[in-house]
Amino acid sequence: MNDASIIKLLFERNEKAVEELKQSYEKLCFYIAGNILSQKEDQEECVNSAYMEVWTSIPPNKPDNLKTYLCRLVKNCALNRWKYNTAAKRNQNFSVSLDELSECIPDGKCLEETVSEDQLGVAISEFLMSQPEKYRKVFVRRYWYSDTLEDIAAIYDMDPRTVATYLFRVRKKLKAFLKKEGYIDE
Amino acid sequence: MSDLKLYNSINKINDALIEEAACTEKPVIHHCYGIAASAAAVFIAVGALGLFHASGSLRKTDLSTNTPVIVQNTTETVTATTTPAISDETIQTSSVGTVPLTTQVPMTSAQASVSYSKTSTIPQNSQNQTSAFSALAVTQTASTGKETGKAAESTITTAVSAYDYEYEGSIIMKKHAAALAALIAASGTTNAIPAQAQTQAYKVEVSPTASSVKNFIDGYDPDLDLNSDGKFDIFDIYAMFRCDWTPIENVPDHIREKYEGLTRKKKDDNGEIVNIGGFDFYQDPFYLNWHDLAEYYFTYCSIKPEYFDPNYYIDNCPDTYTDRVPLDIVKQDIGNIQIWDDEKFATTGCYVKNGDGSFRPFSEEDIHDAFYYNEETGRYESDSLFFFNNTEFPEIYQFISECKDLAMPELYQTNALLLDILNRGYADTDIDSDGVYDFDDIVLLAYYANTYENDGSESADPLYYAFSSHQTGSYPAELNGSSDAPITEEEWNKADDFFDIARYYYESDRNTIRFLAEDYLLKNEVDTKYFDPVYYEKQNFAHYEYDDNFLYTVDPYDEILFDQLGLFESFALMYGPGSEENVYPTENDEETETLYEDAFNAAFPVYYKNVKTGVIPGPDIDLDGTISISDYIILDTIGLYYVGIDEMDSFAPFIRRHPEVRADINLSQEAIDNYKNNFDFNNNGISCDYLESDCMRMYIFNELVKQYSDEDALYDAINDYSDEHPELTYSRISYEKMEEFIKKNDVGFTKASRGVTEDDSSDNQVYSAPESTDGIKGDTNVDGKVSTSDVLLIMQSLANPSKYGLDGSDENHITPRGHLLADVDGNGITNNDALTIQEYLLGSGSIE
Repeated sequence: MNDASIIKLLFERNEKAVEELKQSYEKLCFYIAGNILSQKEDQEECVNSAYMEVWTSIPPNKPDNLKTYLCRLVKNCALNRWKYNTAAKRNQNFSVSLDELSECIPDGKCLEETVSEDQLGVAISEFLMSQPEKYRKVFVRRYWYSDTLEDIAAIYDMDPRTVATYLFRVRKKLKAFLKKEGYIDE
Repeated sequence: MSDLKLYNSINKINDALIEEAACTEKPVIHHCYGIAASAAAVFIAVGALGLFHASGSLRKTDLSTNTPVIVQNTTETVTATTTPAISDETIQTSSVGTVPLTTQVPMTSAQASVSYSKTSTIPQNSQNQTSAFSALAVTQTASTGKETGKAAESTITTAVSAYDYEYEGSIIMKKHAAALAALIAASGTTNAIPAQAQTQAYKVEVSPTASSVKNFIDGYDPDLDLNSDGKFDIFDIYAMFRCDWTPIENVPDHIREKYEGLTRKKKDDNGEIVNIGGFDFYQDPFYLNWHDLAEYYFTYCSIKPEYFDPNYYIDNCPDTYTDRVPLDIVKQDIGNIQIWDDEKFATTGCYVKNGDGSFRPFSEEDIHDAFYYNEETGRYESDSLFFFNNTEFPEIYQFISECKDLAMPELYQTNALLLDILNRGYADTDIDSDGVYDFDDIVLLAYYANTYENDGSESADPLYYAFSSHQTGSYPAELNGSSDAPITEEEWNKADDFFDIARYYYESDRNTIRFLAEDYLLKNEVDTKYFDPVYYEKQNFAHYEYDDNFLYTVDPYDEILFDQLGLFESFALMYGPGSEENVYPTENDEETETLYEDAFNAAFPVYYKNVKTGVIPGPDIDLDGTISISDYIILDTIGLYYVGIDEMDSFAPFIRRHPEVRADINLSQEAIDNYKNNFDFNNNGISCDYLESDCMRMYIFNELVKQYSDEDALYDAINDYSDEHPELTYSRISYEKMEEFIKKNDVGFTKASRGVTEDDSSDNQVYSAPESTDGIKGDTNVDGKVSTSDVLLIMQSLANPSKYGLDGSDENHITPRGHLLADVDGNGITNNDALTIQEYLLGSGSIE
């Protein structure tokens, strides 16, 4: 069933909508949650929470892209869960990608507090749109989808080293961009 | 935690970026000649049911990048006339009796035979046009609709009438457009035969980006001389790179001003965006950035090895930039380097910051800080924090690196660069050291490239391994001491040296081999053996397997040369010495696909009218006096029998040389002759070319579908008919004959096993395997039954995942449940599942 039909069911408060949602996106949801959370139970809880959130938020929301809407819910839930997990349960790969991002902020500096995450998200979107497609896709797969370098290499038929090089370059550019646009608190 | 805030902000990027990255297609331009052999084999098998366009090339090889050929399409277009609306429910005819077609069909001249003489022993494969036509006399009968069982029949009236059949044909085409689109999409066939086949001059294709930039430059005449030195050259590209990618304050003011004039949006006093020359740079699909301009420059202006030599920029760039690493320091370390390779580039391009802010070249003493051993991957990997905080790469190196990453892979014309490199003597191509560069050397290079195994070290970091004693590319141990090794150790080492240089410029060995082979074939005639799989099998260069329709190399990596013999033979025949004597149809490309659709859309209404008015014969292929399902199937069956010049795989050249292996076609000679001779409506010398076959197929489809409740019912009827008439399905290779051939010629071909085949388009790469299977096994479209449409959907989802895959755009794309049910062999959805279901439908297999 396509997204438009699922949204229609949601508006009709037909519980089949959730079933259809699961059929269409369950694997993707677990994939995204699994990149952040290592425990299967945590992943399940997040995915189910996301379904519930979809059920309760649509209507009145009517997202243009149901898939991305659902993915964001899963991811946010997974992130929140990750924050509360102990160090032992943390997904090693996810920690690595966070460490990489810390390179984008100069030593001893931090992001401007007055700018919100939403505002920064818009700015980063504009920055990414100005990058070559292959750099952009690799960056989003790494830091939004939380893929490993090997995953990204496999998806795009690249060498993992090439993936690492692309990420390195974009992080450098992002660092320069953040500084130039005043998002770094001097 | 600023890093977490940054991460959360990235989490809030716009949906388009997330959606774009969800697409798992490699973000480069592909010229897809088609589908993998295994998929094509399935297409062939199912095509015999008549559901796919099977006449001619179905197997296409994904060549990933450069297609060197562009052809000038001069398809004749015939426009349908517009008329007042007419109901498409009723067809007004008046019976005027039968008309002998011999008096009505246009005479055509005999086609010039396709000659293979210059590659000697291949038999001709021409379809000679004759002026003789079988008289076709039929009368109108009432149609009867039948859902199953007896094949539907329809007869046609050869009536001359003022009725606008052409308009009706256009209505029919639109009515069945979806069905036809599915046929064409499912088959993957995009070959197009122009109205007039013509000799084609070899012409290198241009990438869409380069072409777009050229259109922009031609139309708006922007000032590209960014450094104002009076000319547009590589240093202007470099200037644009510096403005795009490095801190703008490091760029001279005059360059910066020109750059901003060229690329930035200007706003007027009201804050509205001002178009530059009436053109909005940021409007899709065009945005001028430095690597697009580089692509344009390399395509239309110049591409030389020195553009990838850092010395060239240091010595010749007329502009003064602020460089993080002073150029005089860089020059000290690289001044003596004449010929570059990846290792030299990596080791000279990295500088480490000293405590006082000065720089020194990366050295062995930095290895310990810069790399760590990753136990999980078994490789030494770079510590990104070290590189990020402590190293600098000179901007020149970044520019060259980015050119190679972003601009070069998009070019189709980089064979010119390779030839320049060879002419300068940078690399030795006389691999067998016989004093001559010939096709034997190219074969050895192809074997090396196919056999060379990356032991994982090079996928780590060349900087690390440059300082280690680790050797890569050693002569394979299994060849040592082997008396029938196809390559000696000395030849291997020479090939290794060659690729050390070639890989600096080209990321793909496949492209390098292809450039070499095509350049050689363009200029030289070669022995016919170089297109014969038997030769390569006997010389141990490759091992081939065969199934009932294809011959292909066993090793999936054997795609360089040995699995593409049809491609190279076609190239030689079309563009090599003496090719002006030959007449060939055009090759696949995206432009041709669009032209083909246009050509078909124009041709069918006219075809329909001409059949209805008796100008040309109806598609009664089997000459039984009726238009029936049998004709529909036979159209495809005979199409399989004839091997086209444009088949890219190794089956075509093999069967041309060894036709004794071909399976007999179980049709009457009259039917075959009818197919070969009587349906050249566009007078291009080829009867039943793709355009004609599709018109005929559409015509038959329309005639028959009237008798069924809907198209699906007709498909079921076709399916049932095929079940009842297995003699109409055709497999190109006779196993018995092949076994006899193998024994007689002592060739090592082996019969293919029906194992799992890898397929890049499979969703299994991203998603984990499912666990529950509720439903009927094989019921891919989850409609409650197993039918040919399930087979179709599997192949569509594999061949066109963006449309029919799990996240496909088409509303009938495969669902997760269907995906589970399609996986009948339990190892992920592959073409083997389609084959297995097909066999089950034909009654010769099981899916339990």
